[in-house]
Amino acid sequence: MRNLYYLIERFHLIILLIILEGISLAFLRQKDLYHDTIVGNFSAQIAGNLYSKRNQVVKYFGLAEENKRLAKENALLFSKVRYSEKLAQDSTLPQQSPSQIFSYIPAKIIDNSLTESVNYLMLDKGYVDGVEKGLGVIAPDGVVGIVVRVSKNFSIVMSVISTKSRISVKHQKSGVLGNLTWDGNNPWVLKVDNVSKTNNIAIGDTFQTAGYSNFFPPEIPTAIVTSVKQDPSTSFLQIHVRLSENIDKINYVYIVESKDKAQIDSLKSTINLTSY
Amino acid sequence: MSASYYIRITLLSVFLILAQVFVFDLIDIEGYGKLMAYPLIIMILPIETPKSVVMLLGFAVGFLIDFLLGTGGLHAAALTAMAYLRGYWISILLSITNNEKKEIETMQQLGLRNFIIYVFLMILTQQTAFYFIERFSFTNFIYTLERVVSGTLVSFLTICLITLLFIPIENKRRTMI
Repeated sequence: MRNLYYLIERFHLIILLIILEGISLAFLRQKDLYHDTIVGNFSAQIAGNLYSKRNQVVKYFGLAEENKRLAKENALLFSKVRYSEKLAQDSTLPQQSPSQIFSYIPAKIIDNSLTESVNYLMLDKGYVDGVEKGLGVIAPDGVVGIVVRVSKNFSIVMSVISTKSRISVKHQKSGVLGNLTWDGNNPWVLKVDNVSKTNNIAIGDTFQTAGYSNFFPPEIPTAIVTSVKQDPSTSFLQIHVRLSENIDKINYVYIVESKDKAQIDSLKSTINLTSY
Repeated sequence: MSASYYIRITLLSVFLILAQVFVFDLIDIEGYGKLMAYPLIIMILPIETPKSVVMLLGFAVGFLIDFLLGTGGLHAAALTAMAYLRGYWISILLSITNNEKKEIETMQQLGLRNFIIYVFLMILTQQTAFYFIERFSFTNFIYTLERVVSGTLVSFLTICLITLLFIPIENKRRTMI
């Protein structure tokens, strides 16, 4: 027994270090696994309130740019309204177009990170506004991420710029499919995997969402090709892309709610598909 | 150690934690390191503070930052590691400046130059721990190293500025390095 006391006395700092680091890493890991614990949600709620206070001050510095973006989006929406009015007059077209099964919840970004290996955004909408875990988030010019945690008034979104994110995309010109991933280095360089060498992909081409998963509506522009390389060791192209939406600069996003998501998810879980 | 010193540390802690959450955390050099000034709280604790108390304080401050920023336990893990290694850096600096532990109460009493060397070693420890725990592997070693270097530089310069503004530097050392 005396030896044990002696041992503890001698190594108490190392023991304390291991215990404290253990607790910290456990919390860090729990955050990555996005478990809905009471502590996590409480912390998210407090952090959310804090971020929105902070955001109220900071947002004034970007008002001019935000105005420009809104004007651009207005113009786009206006042209869409005109188009759909025309469609309504033409009764031969099918009444339910694919985009009608999606509805959108506008939300404001109150915190945004780019420097971590898994990046998160915080939005000012929570489950009282109808946000659920697993919904897609888009901005006017592209895809932003997927909701991973929801509290009462706030939600946390895992950004596309995350090593754990994987989104199926489609080449706009040829329709060939690929997976959009990030290797964790430069936030402005992402990769599109699984595109075979037989396809003709040029710099400046656009990748869109494939629309097979119901996280995102189809044909949302996602990424623009910045370089294409032939890798002799594989039969796939090495495609580097940048996101079409500048995630660093946006303030407002849309959370995509799909009316068929529950059905499709339960069907998918029967065959265990993991890709978004 | 006088009570006024502890009051001063407490006030500075509140200021640094609020500054971290509301100002410094927003400063993000694209893809590079983050500015962290709150480790200064642990650096200016009296030398005679028991090491276990320093570690518990480091954990508490880090955890408070994590709680406010929603970053899990990342800041807590890095600051606890820094608090653990504080004792080693202090004894190294005391021995190369030929000072006895009993003669000086805080590291500021070693003079500005030695205190700045101490700040640099401590912030380097904290930033190294932070970015490697964040990545949790040694893959992309060069990229993580870039972030450690840039994070250390901005944090170090900020802490030096805060030191010059708020912390009185006395000079009780016997010899220069």
